[in-house]
Amino acid sequence: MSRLADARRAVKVDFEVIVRTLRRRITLRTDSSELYEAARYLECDPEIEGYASEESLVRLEVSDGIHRIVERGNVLQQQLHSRELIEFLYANLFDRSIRDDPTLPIIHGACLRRNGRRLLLVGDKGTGKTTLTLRLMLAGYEVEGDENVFVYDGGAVARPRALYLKEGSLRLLPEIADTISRRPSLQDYHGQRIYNVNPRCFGAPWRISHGPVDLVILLRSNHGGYSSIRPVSSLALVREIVPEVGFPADRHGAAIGALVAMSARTRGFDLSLGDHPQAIRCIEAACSSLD
Amino acid sequence: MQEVIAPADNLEVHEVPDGYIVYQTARDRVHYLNKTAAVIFEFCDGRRDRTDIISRVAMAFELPPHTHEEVATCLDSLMREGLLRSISK
Repeated sequence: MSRLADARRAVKVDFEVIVRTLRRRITLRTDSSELYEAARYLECDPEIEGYASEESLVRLEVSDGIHRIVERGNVLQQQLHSRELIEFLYANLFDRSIRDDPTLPIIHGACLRRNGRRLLLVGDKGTGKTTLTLRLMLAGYEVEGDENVFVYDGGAVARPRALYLKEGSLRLLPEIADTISRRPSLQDYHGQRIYNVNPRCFGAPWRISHGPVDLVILLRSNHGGYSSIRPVSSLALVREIVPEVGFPADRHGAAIGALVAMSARTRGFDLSLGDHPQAIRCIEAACSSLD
Repeated sequence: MQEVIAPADNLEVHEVPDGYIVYQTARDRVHYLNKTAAVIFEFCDGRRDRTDIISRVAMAFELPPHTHEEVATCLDSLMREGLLRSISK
């Protein structure tokens, strides 16, 4: 038994991981190094502008081989394995984010800024949003998020969440693969590792703010092929975005109104996403068209 | 007795530069009307019957007579989708 382990047994050491929603800053506290390592997969603490944040504490405990999530003295969940507990928390954080403002529609997409302008990359799973987002970050774009964007009349704001990159995508980002592979990770049910990354890992700022959307880029995968881009009309833009939107219950009409209002102020493009250098040139051209 | 055509109840109509986006609350469905369909929808204001609407749309777009059937098809489709309703006057 090492001295460190003895010392830790004598004095309980708490580990902390910070996770965020727009309106809450949640400290995950645990004295279990196993749970701490697992919880780091959820790490997310961007700078968020324009939202007052409420602090809260969630304890992660392990005793008699059972892992528990405890909040205000109540056991929220208990599982045999830490991984299942983390998966529960992952989903629970999404629910908490929605509860921040349950009236807002949420788009499945990435949110970035370039020279003060905000652009959304909208696409289904597997279209390559995360790798393209990281590529754009390396090209100087500011990344706010890569998964969910809340829409309100005239604007949008990214849901605070780390970017999650699959092990299989590392080969597409060779220059930062080494940094990514040292990040907290979780193995999925297929045995593939998924890494938690954020812009700060690469020396870039991670700041989330709300504001108008200047550009929406619809992604269609063309893996292995060339990238090309073309403008789309407002009608087509809304039609293509709707399947990627989570609508608040009983407020579908208002949500459609918010999407239309956002689309009316933005320019839409359809990007056939093949090779990354060409895709970045296409997006640069789309951004330039706003000038 | 005249059968005029009017927009259905409980529609939320949003105008975009290239048409209308209509949310139908009763069916929880979104409809996308291109410019032509939006113009046809606009003519269905509860004051005109089917024949009048078709001839006004044809006049607005300067359509030759053989294309009137396409306007009628679009009108029927809007009726079938529940965006328009017939009213006896």
